[in-house]
Amino acid sequence: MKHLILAYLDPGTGSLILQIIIASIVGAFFVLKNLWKRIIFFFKGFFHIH
Amino acid sequence: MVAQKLAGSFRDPCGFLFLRNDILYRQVNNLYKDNYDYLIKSGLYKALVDTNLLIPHDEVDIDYAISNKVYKIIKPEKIPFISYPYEWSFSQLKDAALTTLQIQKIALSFGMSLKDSSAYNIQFLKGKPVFIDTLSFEKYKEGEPWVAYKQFCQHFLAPLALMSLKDIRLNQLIKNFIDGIPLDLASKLLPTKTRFSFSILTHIHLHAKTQKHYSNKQISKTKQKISKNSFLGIIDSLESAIKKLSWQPFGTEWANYYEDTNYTINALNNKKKLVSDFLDEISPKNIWDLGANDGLFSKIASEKEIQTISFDIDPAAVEKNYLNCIKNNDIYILPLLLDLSNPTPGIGWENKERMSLQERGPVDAVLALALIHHLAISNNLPLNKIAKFFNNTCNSLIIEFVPKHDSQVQRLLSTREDIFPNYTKKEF
Repeated sequence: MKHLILAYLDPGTGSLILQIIIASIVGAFFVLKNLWKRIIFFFKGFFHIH
Repeated sequence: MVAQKLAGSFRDPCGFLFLRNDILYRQVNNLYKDNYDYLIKSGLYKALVDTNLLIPHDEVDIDYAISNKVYKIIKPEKIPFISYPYEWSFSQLKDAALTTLQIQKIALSFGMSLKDSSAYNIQFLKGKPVFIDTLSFEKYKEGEPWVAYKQFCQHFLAPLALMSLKDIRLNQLIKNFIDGIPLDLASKLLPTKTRFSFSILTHIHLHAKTQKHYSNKQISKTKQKISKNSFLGIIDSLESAIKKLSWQPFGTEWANYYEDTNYTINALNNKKKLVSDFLDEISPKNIWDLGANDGLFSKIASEKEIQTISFDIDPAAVEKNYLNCIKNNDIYILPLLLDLSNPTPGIGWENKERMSLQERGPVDAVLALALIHHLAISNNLPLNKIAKFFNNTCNSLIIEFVPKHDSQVQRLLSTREDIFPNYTKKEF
């Protein structure tokens, strides 16, 4: 109940649904992007050291 | 003196702003106790304040409270001049959007999330955007979608996309829609090619369609879950979308003004010296430079460490001014968009939620250089009305009279009849 009181902003039903729809795509992209960044970081460090 | 609640601070039941003896305070209500304590104890408040992303505050005596729901009273650092998104240039709105997303990412790393993402929660302090609503943070609950996603798209993404991809003047729509530009309207106005951009397609076009489709439908909100990676993915996607949007401030009427005047270098230097001497004489605390163009004369005030609001009607001039301020790390100038013939009105509930220009005055001094001919001739304003305006707006005025024989005035008169017999130095 307390949480409902705090959420004074109407998030909009359509806006919540859209987030659910795009969640898996943007989530997967975000994970891959971070993975790619880590790979680049690793190789940059690797070549820098060696 | 009696405490007075601020007219624009009524939506959030967690607290409100009020003035007592002209000092601004924020009451934190008991309803927000858990979140306030978490904000402070988690280290999020310190992390944001240390990076100048959140306005710092002091906790003060609870006796200052003006309602019995009080948990704490805080006194935030003062913002010298409150400005609004419809007065910002493209890059100011873009920086405000990116600051909001940066704060959201930092908040998530501390287990909190922004419960609103209103553009009015950002102000410019010492040249940089800063978040001013200390009560906007709530504990993040894994699985819940971002409650402020719609508001972020309406307040930031839609206007920036319209300014960048359609017409820079469309930021004025924000003045008509106090909770941001409706996404169905943005979707209609944006060019067809934007449907081939994944971020604009999803966050604006599909968003608008989903809103319409579900406008009369009820869903079980408890069943709608997204993982934290997906939540972060949405923030990351919005950030990429905003970063990709750009606008080049070239080719408008005023963008190259100083390359097209009849001032010689010597005359311009003399004018600068004259302005500088006048400023030394009156030593104002703050200045409004009206018709500032890209801020050439505002810089003179800024060099004297005078808080200067640098107004101009041209989005290109304001943009150039802002980018220069960033480049030069100028902390005294705030460039803003203003049509002096139709100044910013009070908007929102009872026309009091967001202040008019006049309500934010008077100012110590006004600079009105190469301005009067635009008011008197382009806008048919009688000189006595102009004098009355300045009298209500400032304590001191540095004003330049541009005579009729000046080429800039001749240009204004070239396509119309001269119906201004009183526009003379004597009448001035």
